[in-house]
Amino acid sequence: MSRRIAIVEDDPSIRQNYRDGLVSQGYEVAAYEDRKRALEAFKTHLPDLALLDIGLGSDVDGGFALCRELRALSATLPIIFLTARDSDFDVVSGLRMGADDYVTKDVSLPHLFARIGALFRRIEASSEPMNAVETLVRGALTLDVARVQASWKGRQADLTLTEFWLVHALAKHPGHVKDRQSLMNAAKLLVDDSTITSHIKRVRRKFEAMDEAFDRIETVYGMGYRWNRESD
Amino acid sequence: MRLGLRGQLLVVSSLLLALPFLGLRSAREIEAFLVETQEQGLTSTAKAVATALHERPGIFSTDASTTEAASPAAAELRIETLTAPIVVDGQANDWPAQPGAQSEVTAELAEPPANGSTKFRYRVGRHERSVYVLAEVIDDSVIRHDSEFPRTDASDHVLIAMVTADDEFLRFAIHEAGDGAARVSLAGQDGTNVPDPRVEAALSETDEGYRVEARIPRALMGSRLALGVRDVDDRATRLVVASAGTSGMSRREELGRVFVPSPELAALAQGLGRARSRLWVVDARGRVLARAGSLQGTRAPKAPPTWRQRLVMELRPLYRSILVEPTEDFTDQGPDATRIEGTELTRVLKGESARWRRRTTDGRAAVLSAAEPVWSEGKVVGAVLAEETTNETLAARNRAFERLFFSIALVVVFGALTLLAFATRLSVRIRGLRDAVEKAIDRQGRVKGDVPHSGAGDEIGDLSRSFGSILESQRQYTAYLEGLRSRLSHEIRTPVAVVRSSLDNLRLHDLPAPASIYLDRADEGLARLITVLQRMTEASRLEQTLATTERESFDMARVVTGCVEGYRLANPLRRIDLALEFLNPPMMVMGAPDLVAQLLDKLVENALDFARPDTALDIRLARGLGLALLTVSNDGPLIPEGDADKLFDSMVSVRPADPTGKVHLGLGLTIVRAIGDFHDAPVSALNRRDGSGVTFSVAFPLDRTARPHEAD
Repeated sequence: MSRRIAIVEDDPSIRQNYRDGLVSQGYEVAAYEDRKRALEAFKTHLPDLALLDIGLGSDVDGGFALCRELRALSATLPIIFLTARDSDFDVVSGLRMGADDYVTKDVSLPHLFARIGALFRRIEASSEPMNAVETLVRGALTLDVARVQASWKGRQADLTLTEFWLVHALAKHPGHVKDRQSLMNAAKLLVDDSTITSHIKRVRRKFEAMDEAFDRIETVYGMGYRWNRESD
Repeated sequence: MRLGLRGQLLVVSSLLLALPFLGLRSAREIEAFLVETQEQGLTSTAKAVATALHERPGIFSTDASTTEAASPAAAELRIETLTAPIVVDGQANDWPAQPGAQSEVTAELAEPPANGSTKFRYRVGRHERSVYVLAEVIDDSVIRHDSEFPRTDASDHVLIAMVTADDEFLRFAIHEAGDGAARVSLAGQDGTNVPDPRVEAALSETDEGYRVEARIPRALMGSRLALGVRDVDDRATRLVVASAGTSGMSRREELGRVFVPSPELAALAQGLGRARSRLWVVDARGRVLARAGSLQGTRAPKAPPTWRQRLVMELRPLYRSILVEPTEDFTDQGPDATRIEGTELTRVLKGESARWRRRTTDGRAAVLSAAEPVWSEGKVVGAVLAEETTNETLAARNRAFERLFFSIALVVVFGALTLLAFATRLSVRIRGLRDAVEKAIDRQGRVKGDVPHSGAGDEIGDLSRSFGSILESQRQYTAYLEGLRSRLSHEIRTPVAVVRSSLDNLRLHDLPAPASIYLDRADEGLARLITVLQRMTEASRLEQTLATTERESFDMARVVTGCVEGYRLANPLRRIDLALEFLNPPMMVMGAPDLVAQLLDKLVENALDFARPDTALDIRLARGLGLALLTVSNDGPLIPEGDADKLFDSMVSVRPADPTGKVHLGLGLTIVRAIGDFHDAPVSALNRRDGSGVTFSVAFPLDRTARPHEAD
């Protein structure tokens, strides 16, 4: 059975375009133009994934509120923020609300499909045995590409999709410097340099939360970042 | 020279210093006026006395000599009027000790002595029915009269010669008879003498010689009198070695005239005289008939000074240098003056009034004089002369000036202090306003704060309020601009998303081959549009970033080296030179390395855009004076004169339109400055001295607390 995706977006053109695109990918799509209607529908029938705009018409932060309410209904439902806002503040706020990812509206449809696909894979894979072929191991770091999940020293790291792809891009070729542009491509993002910087900072912090001695991601000033090989 | 408000007001208030000069001028005018008044007062006094003496010939004619031809002044014997009788005992102590009394005239030697000299001082006084004579004789050896040498001139003696009321010529000799007794005898011209009881005398020896006191009945006295001394020093020869007298004594014509100043006049003068003034009455020949008063005033005991007077006295040395303090310590024309002469008096005695000024004999005080003739029966019989020093006037003038000067000093000091305080308050308020305004607007022209609302009703209050409203308008305008920028980027992003998703959807369908070309172009255009959107919000996003960025200590050289490596990779066709100087110890800077990298990105980006393609970019990091100095220099067009500072302002781009179509919003250098400010690092742009290009430099303060091992 096809997966059901809910789009909450106030702009009819974008709503229709995304809807058309997703339908063409074989998803079942329910589109809502405001928070009230969406919430009513969610209460009767939860979608498999929600794509939320933050500003919903006059409801400036409606997306955030909806995200909270949706999280209350389901703790595991994948949520992606899709917004015209791209400030660090909004990114951080969105992720704190419990969203799984955050993309700006200038993302291309193929990128969006990739994200959605990856999120679904993550959910599916959590219930399936691990596929050895699609696993990347770099010392203590294990990246399950299929399930889009990372673990450090055996413990699962709570990374968003964007963050996972950043780590994956870095760890794939340890010792190679990845500049911001290639990281952006890898993460299927279209953001400015400082957003990459803050993404990297968040990734470091998440690893450091698990292991204080974490120092794998090195900044190469003026060029980008590099995954350090195991020193031992 | 730049002069603050306070300085300007002080300069203006120095005009107050003209006040003391005005005070001095008015003091001088007051002085002239007072002296004039004083002179008039003096004239009226003289006139009053003269009027009182008009037509009273009796006073002036007691002495017949006034009508006679003038005889030598020295020959006249002046008889003072005594208030009490004299005890004839050879002691001088019962003579009234008037300092100005008519005593002490050194007699002139009638016959010059062969050896030694004879001098004597004398006084002649009159009381009721007696005339008293006092003679102090200076003689080193007193030879007494004895019977062995009975001649009058065989021993020391005092001679009193007179023409009696009966017109008889008598000479009395007074010898010492031994034991302090006096022997009075009537001396004949031939040297004989017989004791005569009509004259009573006493004699006593003194340290200097001897003193003779004698009483002559007034009835005996005529109009001529002379005193003389004969000195005999040798006991054996008994020859007169010296003699002296008030006039010649051998013939009656030689005797001097008796001159009795009028007691009536004296009393009158005394009554009419004023304090501190001296009044003279002279007869037609200038002889002093009466005198009253003294030029010297008596000083009144001073009351303890009040605080104000004490203050005034503190200032005294100041105005002493301007005005002369009058002194009572002066001497004038001897008190024994019995005759006054002078051209002015001569004029008065001819019938004119006169008024003149002179200095005292020692020149220490100025004396005002006024003289009026005294008339009797159409003739000038005498004159009244009134004299006064200007001391009192000067003192009055000084007191007035002192008070005035004190008041002026107070006014000047308080005026200056008040002006200073006022100016200080003004400049504090203006400076406060300036600071508030400067603080209210940041370098990007954004309104950060507010000018405190001023309730003052004056111009500065107005200015402050007007600044407030200007700032408010400015704030609204900048808020509008910034809002516009972010709203624009937000609002454009939505249609961009529509276009992009539409294009993407289009690609999902089968399209004729040429369509994808146009799709690609549309994508390219979109990408550029999105870049514009990002640039537009870059600056404001940077601010958010700066506000949340944590500072750490990092090695500047590592960041710069890394960045330059990146630039070389990214721009393989360009030459990028890097020079690092004085790297040991590492240049630790407190801040955010990512941001510094971003700053360098912007500088290099800027330099690459401007540099001619075939020239090298010169990046340099040097240490100096606690600073890490980062410079990026390139050949290329110069910064227009005066634009160097504006360069870093928001939205300012001085570059010409870029033919490559790259987007320049003039935000790059604004970001450089924002990051520079974050690191307390001043940013500057200069043209190279040789005019070949432009150098941008950022001076990062070094982190002095960093330890070397933290370098990595």
